[in-house]
Amino acid sequence: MAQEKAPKPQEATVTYTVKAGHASAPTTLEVHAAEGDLKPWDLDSWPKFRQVGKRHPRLDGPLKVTGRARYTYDVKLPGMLHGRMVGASVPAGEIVTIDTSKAEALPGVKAVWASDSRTVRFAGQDVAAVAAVSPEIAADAARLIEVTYDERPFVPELRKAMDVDAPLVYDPDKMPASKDLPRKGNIVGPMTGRRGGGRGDVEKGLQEADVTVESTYSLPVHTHSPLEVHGVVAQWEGDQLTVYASTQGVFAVREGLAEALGIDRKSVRVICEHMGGAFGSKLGPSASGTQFAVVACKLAKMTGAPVKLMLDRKQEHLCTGNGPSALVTVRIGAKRDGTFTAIHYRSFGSAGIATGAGTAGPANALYQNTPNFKAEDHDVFTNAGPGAPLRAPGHSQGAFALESAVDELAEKLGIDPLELRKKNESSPVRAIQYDIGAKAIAWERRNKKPGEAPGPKKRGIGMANGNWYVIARGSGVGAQIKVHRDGSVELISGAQDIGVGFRTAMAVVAAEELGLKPSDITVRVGDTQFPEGPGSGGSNTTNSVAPVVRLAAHQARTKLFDLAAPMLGAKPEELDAADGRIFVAANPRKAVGVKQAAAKMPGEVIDCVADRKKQYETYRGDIAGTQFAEVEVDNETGEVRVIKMVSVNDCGFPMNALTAESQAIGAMIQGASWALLENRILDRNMGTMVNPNLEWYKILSPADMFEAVSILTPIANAGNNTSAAGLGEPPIVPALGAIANAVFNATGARVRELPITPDRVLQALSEARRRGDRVAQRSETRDDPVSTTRRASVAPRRGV
Amino acid sequence: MNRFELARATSASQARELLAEKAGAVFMAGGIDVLDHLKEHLIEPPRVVDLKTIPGLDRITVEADGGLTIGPLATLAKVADHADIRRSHPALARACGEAASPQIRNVATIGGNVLQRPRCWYYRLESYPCVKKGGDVCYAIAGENRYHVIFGGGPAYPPHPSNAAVALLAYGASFVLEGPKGRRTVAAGEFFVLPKDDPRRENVLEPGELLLEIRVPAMAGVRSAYLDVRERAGFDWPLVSAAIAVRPEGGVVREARVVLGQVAPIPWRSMRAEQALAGRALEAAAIDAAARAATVGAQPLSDNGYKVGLVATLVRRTLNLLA
Amino acid sequence: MPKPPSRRDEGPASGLSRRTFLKTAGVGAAATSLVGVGGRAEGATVLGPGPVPLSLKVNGAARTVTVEPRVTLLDALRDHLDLTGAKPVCDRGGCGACTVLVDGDPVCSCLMLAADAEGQEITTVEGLGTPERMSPLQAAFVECDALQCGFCTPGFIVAGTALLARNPDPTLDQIKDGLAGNLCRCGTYGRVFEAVQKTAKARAPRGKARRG
Repeated sequence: MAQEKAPKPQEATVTYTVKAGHASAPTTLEVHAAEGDLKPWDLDSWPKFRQVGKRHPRLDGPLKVTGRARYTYDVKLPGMLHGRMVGASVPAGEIVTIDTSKAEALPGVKAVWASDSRTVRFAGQDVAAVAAVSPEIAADAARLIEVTYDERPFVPELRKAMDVDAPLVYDPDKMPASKDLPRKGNIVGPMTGRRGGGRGDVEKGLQEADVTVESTYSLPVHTHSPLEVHGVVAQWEGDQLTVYASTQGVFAVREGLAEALGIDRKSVRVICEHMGGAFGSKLGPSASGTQFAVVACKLAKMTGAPVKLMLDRKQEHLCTGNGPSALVTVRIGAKRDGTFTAIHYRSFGSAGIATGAGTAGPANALYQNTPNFKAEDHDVFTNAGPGAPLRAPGHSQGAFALESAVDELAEKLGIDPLELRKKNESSPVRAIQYDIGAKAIAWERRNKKPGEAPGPKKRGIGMANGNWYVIARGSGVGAQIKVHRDGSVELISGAQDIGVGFRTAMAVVAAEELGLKPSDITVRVGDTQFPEGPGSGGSNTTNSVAPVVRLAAHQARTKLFDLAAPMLGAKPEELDAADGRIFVAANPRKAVGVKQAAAKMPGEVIDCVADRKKQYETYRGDIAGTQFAEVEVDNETGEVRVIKMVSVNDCGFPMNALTAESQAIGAMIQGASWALLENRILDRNMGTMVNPNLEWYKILSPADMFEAVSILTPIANAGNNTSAAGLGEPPIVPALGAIANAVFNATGARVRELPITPDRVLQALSEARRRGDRVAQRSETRDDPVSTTRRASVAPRRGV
Repeated sequence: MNRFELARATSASQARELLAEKAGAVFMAGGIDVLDHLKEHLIEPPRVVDLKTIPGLDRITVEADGGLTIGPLATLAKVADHADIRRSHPALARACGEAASPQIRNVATIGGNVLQRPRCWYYRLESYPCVKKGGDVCYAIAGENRYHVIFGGGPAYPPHPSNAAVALLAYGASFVLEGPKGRRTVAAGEFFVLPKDDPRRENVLEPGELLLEIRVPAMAGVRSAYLDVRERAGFDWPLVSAAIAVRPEGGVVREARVVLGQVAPIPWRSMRAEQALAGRALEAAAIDAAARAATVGAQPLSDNGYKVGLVATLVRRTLNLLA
Repeated sequence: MPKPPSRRDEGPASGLSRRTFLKTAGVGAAATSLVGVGGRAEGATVLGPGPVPLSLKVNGAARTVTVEPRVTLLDALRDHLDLTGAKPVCDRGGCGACTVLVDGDPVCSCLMLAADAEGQEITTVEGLGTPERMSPLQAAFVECDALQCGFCTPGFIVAGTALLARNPDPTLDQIKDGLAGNLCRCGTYGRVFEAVQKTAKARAPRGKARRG
């Protein structure tokens, strides 16, 4: 995950000394790159960049804004059939019969599939599928499939599932959890590894504190809700299978389908030229709760025709994954001067029938100087769709809980929350980011006493920290650059662009090496026939592929310089390239066009393929961020509106500042949406989802938009030869906490359960009034923790 | 959707014939609500009778006295943007203009909006055979009821979804209906039906009856406003809404109509709030009394108690706009 | 052995519990019921239920599709006219990704029957510009980076075009309201507004007083 250790002796390496870190505090770093790799771009390179770090419009922009970009949903092949899945309508039980006869008899239906698996554990689980000549007939046929169930007791909701008497989602021998972990009913954990563990003695540390806070926070399941649903178009030509997939990983799809279908990988080609979003739900061959892609391939095989199988919006909500719920208790203690003495982080969460609800990442990564620390993450099974990684999985949830607790501690100590965080900060990068962000939000405007602004519409400012990791694939990544005799250039990578601007970022890297503009380069991505790329998860795409693109481009540059050198009467090592020209560095007027040099090539194309050998040392293995939010709360209606958010982010060196900012802005918007609106609600009695749509599963709308400011702090991070790191996930991690803390600053009332809907704000306000909890009061004894564990919320079991 | 015939009527009487010809047929105006029902298979009519092809049903006429005659096929956008309506009946213009999204407002008709079925998620999902669909159970009572009613509920508890209906009731509008038994005019106050009378319907429209006209009295000398509270600023159903019309005379309220939305299975007129205002100056004391009075009799469900306070707040704020 | 209690999922033909509850009483018709029986009122057009030819005017060109009446405008455009710019996302008019213009007004094409669009001018995103010759708004989206995955983008372009046609100099609040029916999951709103403002500003005749 983070930087690799020093290389094993037998690997051939080359050592570089780089000027690393932030420009305000440079440091020297020695890295051991694979032999043949280039010196990483560092702080000396940054001011000289012509393309990297500048603002470049997306190369795929014109296609997308004119509706010409072809997504999987748009693919149409001759003779194509339309597939449709059928999911279980009960939350738990055994399938007794599946009768597809009426569906098969319907004219226009060409094939049906029924699941072998008989045990149903969540509503929406795969049961059957059809393929027909039109989408309308496929839908008609799907409704003719008759299924009978022997229903079983079920438990859809987190807290209920934690009861000792709760129905068991799994028989103990069938539970998909490590047998080494403790179990109690539906609860598994605490987990070990990065999400678990600790240091010191947390009970002692809390005893030593002058002030402690203990609070419980919770949030519901969120669904990814990408705009393009999951789906594939599958086509067999003899034994060769071609699949168009809306995916984050064409190679993962290939691997998964080959395995499921029992065929060689070489027989499978997966294509994803454009895709309509995923946020973590499209990393595997189908999706976490459905095998639709395998089914589509089977239907295509059965019928001898291509099959397009797209899920519908209901299915998208039910079975393609989700971000787990969380119920977190944080205990945090500090000395009078604000130094943390102990942090105890204990969470329970449900990823439905799967594991993966851990949220202790931020608690593990932030405030590392805190001497006593313990994290205990637990998974709780419920009869609901399995979770899937959702944009920084578990981290925005964990940061919400931890950073709310830090904020409560600041309140109790009477210390400014920004100062409290600075005091306990362990990352030199975030230490630089604080003042940048504070200035951008004008932190001094915040209420010294929460709720003191005149009402009824009160504004407040809050902040929270976020962390992520440098995640990269060190090997098994390739890229190809082709320079044609006519000077046209292609860049080819098997990785996919999931909307982050990957295509353009790679073109920027190649353009930097070749002395071109990104728009001079034609980029082809998203095809397993191209050099292998990583799945686009963990924010790893840019930093895995950019260095290989740079290598391939550098190879091409070398060849072009060899061609140009005699034309300029110079040696290749005396040359440089920029603005479409190759010139003598010491005498730039001696120049020749890149096209002119290319025309001299002996063959038709300069074809450079490079691959990645290793990730190496980084300046930091963690990625730092901090965020500030200003909200306005109507104290009489409880309505919360975000006014402004400022996100300060480290992404190593951003390859394309324009698209990097868009990532950060998008993350703030998605974070605000989670904080204020989103809630996957299962009916507490029937166990089925009541809002499987975009009407009642509410996503932030344009009318809710606020001023979103993205500030990037470029860090020469090394790790790879471009110093790039990822940015897809880091900016969402602090968002929930920043908004929740802003709401507190605005109202003086703390909401500890998301989403922060009007009813919860009103409830918190009335509780605060009842407690006479005006901000002036500061409880100073260690026996007076602020606790909500026993306080009922307005909607006690809604959706969680 | 099921396979159906699409019949294009060219007159109201022909539309009714086309409907009567085919058991299970339905009328369709803008189609927003009908298509939602079709897509969820809540209805499976063999024939859909399109009313949009009937000329003249979308006309908006301002009468000589300032009253309005609104064709049921007038779109929400047309009503919201109508300069005269914005001036003389601002609550109606606002209620229509705040509904849904620009795309929906361009197609949804005011008649369709008033007649639309509830948005209750149990009703709108095929998989819940609830009371409104002829079943035995209302899933909201013991289930997820945060958006449901605090007045007038039982045996079903879905809030009436129409913003426009709230304003129309506040203005004392009436609906002109035409059916096999002829034409009749029903005042808004009598048009909507509580579930205790018949849980399977929301209004008195009889089988085969068409809504032909919406008549809104002139509001000279009346001040009116519409406000709502929502979770999401854009494109959301209100949590609570209010349309209030007052006629001031001699420094006091001579007449008032206070109507609440999203709190009852019908647009909910609060006589108590009106009485609290009658004959009083529109100042803090009366306004507070009306706001409190509007909440009397509320019977919240397990998760929607917050609506009670919102009712009071909204009535107070709307009255303050008119003060 | 007694059969354990079971729950049945059945199609409508079973007549289980899916009755229509319309005022015109009667049992729900089977999903696959076909040709209507019975007479037709004089002079009325009755289409379907089988496929019928529809004349649509799309992006200025006369096109014909032969589809069942139940086919939406969105599906007719995408599956029958190869105009895949408008996107299927929520199927219920809740997100605006399927927005097209009908006689200049933005509508959700997933909530309109193709038959209902006959006789009207339909404009899709493809009709507003090409990659080689983008409209000013389309170009502004690219310059401002008002798109990410791009799936919501055609809907925004169409809705934004209509907004500017109606209101050439909108305030920020007017832009927000005008685009409130379009959802974006990647989070492009801020830059979408910039693109609309940039386009409006570029169009404003010089010297014209700007409305607040």
